[in-house]
Amino acid sequence: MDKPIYDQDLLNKLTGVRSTRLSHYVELRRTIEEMTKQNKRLAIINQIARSITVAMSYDEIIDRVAEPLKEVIPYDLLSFCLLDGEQLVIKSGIPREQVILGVGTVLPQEKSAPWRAMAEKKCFLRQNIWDDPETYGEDSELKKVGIRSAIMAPLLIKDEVIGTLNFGSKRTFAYSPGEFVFVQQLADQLAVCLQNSRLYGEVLKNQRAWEETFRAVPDTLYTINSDFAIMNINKAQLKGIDYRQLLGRKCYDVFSDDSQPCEPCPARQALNIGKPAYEQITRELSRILDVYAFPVVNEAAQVVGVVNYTKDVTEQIHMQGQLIHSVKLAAVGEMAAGVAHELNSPLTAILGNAQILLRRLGQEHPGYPLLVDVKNCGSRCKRIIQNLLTFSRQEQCNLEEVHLNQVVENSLALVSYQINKSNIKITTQLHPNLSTVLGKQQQLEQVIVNLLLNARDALKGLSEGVINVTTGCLKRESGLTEAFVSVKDNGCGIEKQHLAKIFNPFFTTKDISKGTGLGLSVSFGIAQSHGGRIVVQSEPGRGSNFSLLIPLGEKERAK
Amino acid sequence: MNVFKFVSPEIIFGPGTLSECGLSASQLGARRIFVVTDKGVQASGWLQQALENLSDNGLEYVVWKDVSPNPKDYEIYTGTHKYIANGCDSLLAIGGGSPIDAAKAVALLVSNGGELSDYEEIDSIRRPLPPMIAITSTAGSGSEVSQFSIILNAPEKRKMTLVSKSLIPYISIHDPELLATLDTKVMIYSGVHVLTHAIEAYVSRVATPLSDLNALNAIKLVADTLRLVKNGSRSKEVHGCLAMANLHAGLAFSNAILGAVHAMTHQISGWLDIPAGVVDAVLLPHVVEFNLPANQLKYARVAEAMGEKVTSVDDGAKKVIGAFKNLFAELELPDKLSQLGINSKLYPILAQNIIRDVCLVTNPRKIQMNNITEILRRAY
Ligand SMILES: Nc1ncnc2c1ncn2[C@@H]1O[C@H](COP(=O)(O)OP(=O)(O)O)[C@@H](O)[C@H]1O
Ligand SMILES: [Mg+2]
Repeated sequence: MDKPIYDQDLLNKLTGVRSTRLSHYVELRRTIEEMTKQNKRLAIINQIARSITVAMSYDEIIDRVAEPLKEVIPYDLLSFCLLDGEQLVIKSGIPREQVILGVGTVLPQEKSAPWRAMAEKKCFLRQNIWDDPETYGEDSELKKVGIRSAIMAPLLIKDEVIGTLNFGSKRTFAYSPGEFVFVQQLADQLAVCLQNSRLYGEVLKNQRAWEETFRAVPDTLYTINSDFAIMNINKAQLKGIDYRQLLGRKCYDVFSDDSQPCEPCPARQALNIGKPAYEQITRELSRILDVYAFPVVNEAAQVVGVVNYTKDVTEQIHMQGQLIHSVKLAAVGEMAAGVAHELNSPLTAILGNAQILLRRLGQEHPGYPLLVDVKNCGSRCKRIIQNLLTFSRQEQCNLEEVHLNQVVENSLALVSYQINKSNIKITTQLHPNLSTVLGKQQQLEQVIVNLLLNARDALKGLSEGVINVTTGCLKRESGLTEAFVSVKDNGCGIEKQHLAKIFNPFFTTKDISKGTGLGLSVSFGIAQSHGGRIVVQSEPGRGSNFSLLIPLGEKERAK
Repeated sequence: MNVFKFVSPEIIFGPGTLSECGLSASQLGARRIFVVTDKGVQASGWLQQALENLSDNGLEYVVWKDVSPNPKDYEIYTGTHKYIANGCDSLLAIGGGSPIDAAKAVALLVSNGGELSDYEEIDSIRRPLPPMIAITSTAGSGSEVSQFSIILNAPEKRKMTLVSKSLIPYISIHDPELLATLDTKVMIYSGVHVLTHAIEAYVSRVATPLSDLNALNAIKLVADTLRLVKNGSRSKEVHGCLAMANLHAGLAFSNAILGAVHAMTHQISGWLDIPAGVVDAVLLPHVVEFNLPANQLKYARVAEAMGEKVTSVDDGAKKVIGAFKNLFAELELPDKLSQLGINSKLYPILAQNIIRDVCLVTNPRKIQMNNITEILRRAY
């Protein structure tokens, strides 16, 4: 086993022109360079960690890392992809506007290098992509953008992979396994940032969805603390005030203009008993509100606040009232029609016979005046019956030119007998040339009848009762002219606390047998459907004045 | 003219220079020194003197003195472990070839890691070694200036030769006073080893004018000095001459490398655990006899340097073997391998190891397996 002894290479090494003692200086330089690089990299990781905040978008995050990274690791392509369900999707990248392998690209799970880094949970290095016998799904795209080498690091959160961080270079062998530690450290740091950003986004989205739901509720929803201070409210504005200015104010201050809790107050009940409470409350402008109060309980089972749900049920209640009323009216009308019909024949007989007798007896006959009275009363009965029939046939009525003076006369014809019976004096001052309004005559008569009957009730038991019916015209500041009928009495008047409620259906101060509480609410509805309104002035003990106002002119207004 | 390179450590030579070790070490930046030595050096008192000098210079140290003659690989692993465990940053070797070679091997492993056999290929060291100071307490090994370290591969009973410029100590201290405690017999063996080194370096295939200068000087100095020693002279001058001869020989062979004698002595002395000088004395005449045709001129000059009256190249070449034999006879050294207690049945194994020795490369005449066995047979 002779080996070549006179090996020139061996001799060179021995006698050493080509070999030299190794120097610590060089090694130290190398070590220091390496350490400097490491320090710089650490500093960059720190800087990145500090500058990224949860509220940043993916693009903002990559912008933060793009510049500083250039100093320590070369790249022509920098991107990160995240798992989106089952898919690995590029979420952001540098260069920014790149189309190939741009944002939204889905990496094929079949054979893709980032997927491999994820599966192995460690950095994956590709030194020479174009000549790599091992090919991956994204290779042709990488070729298009000129990337020849790449390093991919898994984004790990506590051993769970959420995506990858990718560096690409146009040079082959741009990266080495020596880079793994740094790239992985960077990826770990980024993973935390990205995860935070993602979670933050989700929280924000959820919060927004909740807020939108909260705000989308048409009814008023608000929470108060145990001091009745508003904590949150779903209306962007309330009475023209931005909701932010409402926060912290007392609910009774905001909603009732009051300096102390309303009476009754479901919120207080909820605070006191710790159980949901409900009240129907009428607030300004006769709005009827269903108020539900739900207590908010903390971990220690203490009631710390109340969620208030306020639903405006005014229309609903009015409609209910109108429905009931019209059903009643229909029944009454039907009955009245029947009764009138039945009375018609005997009345015809009475009137006919009375006329025959009058002719036969002659004026000199002592029974003649009595007979005249019989005839007059019979005629009157006939008129009343006629009116009743007309009044009860209101469902067929149409829009027409209505003369309010006529409305007053018809109404009085219907009820003046009853009123006179109660020793009440009726005076009228009818505007001589009042313009007509477009409306439904029977409905308007119904309103006036209601007002007259209410006035009569208000005068009950009083000796000098007077009802004054006036018609006329008013020009409002807005330029709108309204025709009006006002029914004024000198009766009991209305207590202040009742004033807001009188238009509420079923609100009555009268005996169950007498009052229905529907008159004014139905009248209000009729006025509204004519584009008009009813206004009240009242003073307890001195009387009330109810006015029906209907705008003149344009026909559409009186729908 | 041939291209060549000449390597050498920083050299401190002269009586009393032992006490330069502390300053030298601190100038190298040492703080905590791994001191490698052996029991003999400790017994002589030189170790103590060196350690005091280190302390005087405010240096810490850890002493490792379990190095045996012909240091074994397992000892090196122990030393390496000790160096690292004690957080040392530099080495001081004091003694003969064994502690110095051991220190070099430790320095190699602490900075490069792995096993010694990883570095058997020439110049395969990849990282710089910690700074090292070598103080020679004998005259013979030349290790204090050389790029070699010889360690015994104990399981295989084979000497491993590690070669690298990085193995050259940073500073080499040659204090002739240290030879005072050397046994005369040992001194003679060492001297013969120095002579052999000088001759082989001189005739080496890669000898250079600079190495020749050192080699011839060594030969001239050592032949006369050894006779004086043999005659009982242990003067300062004698010690100084021997130390100088050793330095010259060391520089010569570190740069020009050695030859067949060294290759064979390596293996035989390692196998028998006997001083190299004794084996050298037996083998040198036989190897020169084989090599003579390759470079008669240089061998004639060797004869001249050894004090022979030489009239021509032929004359010198004829006289050179006689010159060796005369000297060794005067020094009362054995002239047959059989006298050393070697069994000739071992020759095949020895030859196997010898043929692998790197020193054969520079032997002036191409030497092959059959030549080696023939030389061994003649020397028996
Ligand atoms: N002219 C009035 N004077 C005093 N109180 C009135 C007058 N008109 C209405 N009210 C009050 O308004 C309430 C509601 O009236 P209304 O809706 O017509 O129902 P009802 O007449 O069946 O009670 C009455 O119970 C009464 O307390
Ligand atoms: Mg009524």
